[in-house]
Amino acid sequence: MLPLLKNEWIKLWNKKQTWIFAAAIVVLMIAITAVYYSFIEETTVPQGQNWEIALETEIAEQEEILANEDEEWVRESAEQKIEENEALLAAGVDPNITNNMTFMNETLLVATSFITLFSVIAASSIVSFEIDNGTMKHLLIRPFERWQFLLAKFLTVVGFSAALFVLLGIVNLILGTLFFGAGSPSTPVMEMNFDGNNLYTTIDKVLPQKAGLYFLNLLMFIIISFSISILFKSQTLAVGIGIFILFATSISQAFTALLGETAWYKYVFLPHMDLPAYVVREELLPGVGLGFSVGVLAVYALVFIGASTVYFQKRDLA
Amino acid sequence: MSQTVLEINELTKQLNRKNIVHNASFQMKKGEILGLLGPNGAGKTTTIRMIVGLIKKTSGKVYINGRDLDEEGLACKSEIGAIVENPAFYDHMSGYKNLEQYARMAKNTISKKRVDEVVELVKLTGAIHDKVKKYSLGMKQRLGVAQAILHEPALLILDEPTNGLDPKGIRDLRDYLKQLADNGISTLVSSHLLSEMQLMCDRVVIMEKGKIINISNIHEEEEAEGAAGQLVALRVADSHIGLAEEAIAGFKEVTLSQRENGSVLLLKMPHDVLPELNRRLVQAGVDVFGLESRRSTLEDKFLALTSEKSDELQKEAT
Repeated sequence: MLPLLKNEWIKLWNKKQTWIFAAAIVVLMIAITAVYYSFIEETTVPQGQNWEIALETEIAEQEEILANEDEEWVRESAEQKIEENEALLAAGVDPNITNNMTFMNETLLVATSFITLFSVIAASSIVSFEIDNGTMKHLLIRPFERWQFLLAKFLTVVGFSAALFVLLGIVNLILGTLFFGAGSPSTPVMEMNFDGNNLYTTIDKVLPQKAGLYFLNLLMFIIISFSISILFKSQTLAVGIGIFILFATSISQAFTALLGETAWYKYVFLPHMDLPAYVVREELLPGVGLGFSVGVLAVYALVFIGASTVYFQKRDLA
Repeated sequence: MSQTVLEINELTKQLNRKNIVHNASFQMKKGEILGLLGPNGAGKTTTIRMIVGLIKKTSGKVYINGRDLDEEGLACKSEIGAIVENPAFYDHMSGYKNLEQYARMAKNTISKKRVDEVVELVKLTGAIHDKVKKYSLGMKQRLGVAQAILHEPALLILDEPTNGLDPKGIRDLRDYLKQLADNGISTLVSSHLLSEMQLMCDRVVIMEKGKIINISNIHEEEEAEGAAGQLVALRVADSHIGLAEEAIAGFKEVTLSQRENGSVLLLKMPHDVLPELNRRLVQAGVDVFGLESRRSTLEDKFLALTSEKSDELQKEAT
């Protein structure tokens, strides 16, 4: 089994495509940093006074508005602002602080859709390339079981995705430190929640959760593309479906709004492909928590892996 | 001691209720070169793929060195080296890296020395570190042989190895297979090139429409032919036909079997009276333009066999 893994890993990194993907991640992270940097430059209020005083001053201003104003929406907005600032003060969160840790917390997942895309491409091609190229038959006549080749290839793709993710993290950390300075991992932050109460926490608590949940979703993308490329013998179809799911996931909130009421929707895997949302919310739909989501994904994963392995074990390679 | 390296027993492959291969049985001895012969679509490739496990057989048995392929598949596979159809490689990697891939998959450890030795043997030493995409077809074919013999298999299986090889390449391959056979390695070769098979093989198995229609030993038949008298074509000047026939009529070891397009006589005689015949013709004043011995070719035999079959089929039909 180990020689197969080693072989796959070598073959992967002997492809130009693999290096281009890695380079693309670096370039993308540089671009994100540039955009973020110019954005921070424009919006940050001149620091110099204590952030707590600034927040309290803002509260005082809003209270003044509240005392003088009758218009309903202005009052509401002011009340909200006061509430938010009080919460920030209570949690010790400086909303304007920028360091390498806050930078990572805010930008790490931005570039991950590209990691997902590259992983989908790698997963779709790793089996079908060898079949189209004619080298698969040279593999299958070796003294190994067919499923061992599949496992080696699957683990190689997972390893590749993990490598890209680690690369992203390292580049992110370097750029963040260069442009925004070193900060404490335990910097308190606020995570926005559009459907409920904002979450006040620290980066060392929230970022590993985000990364871990993202990686579970990534694994699911790999499993689906990998299996489809085997079952339908088509790399194009597998990449297409992978990208379709990627896009569908980004608008899954719209689907949830439309179909969330139906009994079957929670058993579709699509709404569960945005697991990092669980960082700020308990439930995706009424009664659907993280455990349920992971359970649904696990069932889909088992079905996909099972079907493709059984099919690959039995198929004739002509 | 003649050891059976490969035995197939009533091997059958059905696809959509059609027999692609039907009850094929034969055995191969140690050090033997066995040709699998037949027109395109006769089932040669399917038979080979069932032996190496790329295609699942419908029924029948395959034994390699006495081991059942169904029960000890991996042990069987480590005894086999094969090129199935065109040798396919990872074009973006060097020949050497390709061989390393296959070396890692062998059950026995393959030393660097062994790899170099095989490279030397297939005369690729100068080009082995070039990328495979720069190789000519002949070089790829040789690299194919290299990967097939790297792990010192007992049985070498080559599917259409002469496809795309130039005459010199074919000759090299032939010499090379003889050399392997002397070292006790058995080779199963499939081809539709009859003349090649005649030169290369010890025995041939002739397949047609999925069935084995004949198994014959080439050397034995050649010897038998030599004793009974061989066919000689005599070409004389047109006006001397009568003279020549007279001279032959007075020579009792020689019989006239056929006249071919006017000035060519086909004679049947023992090999050793040929010089005497020549002398007599000259003495009789016959202008001889050519005197050549003709061996009955595998092609004749093949055509005879297949036409017999089609006659039978026609009889059955009426």
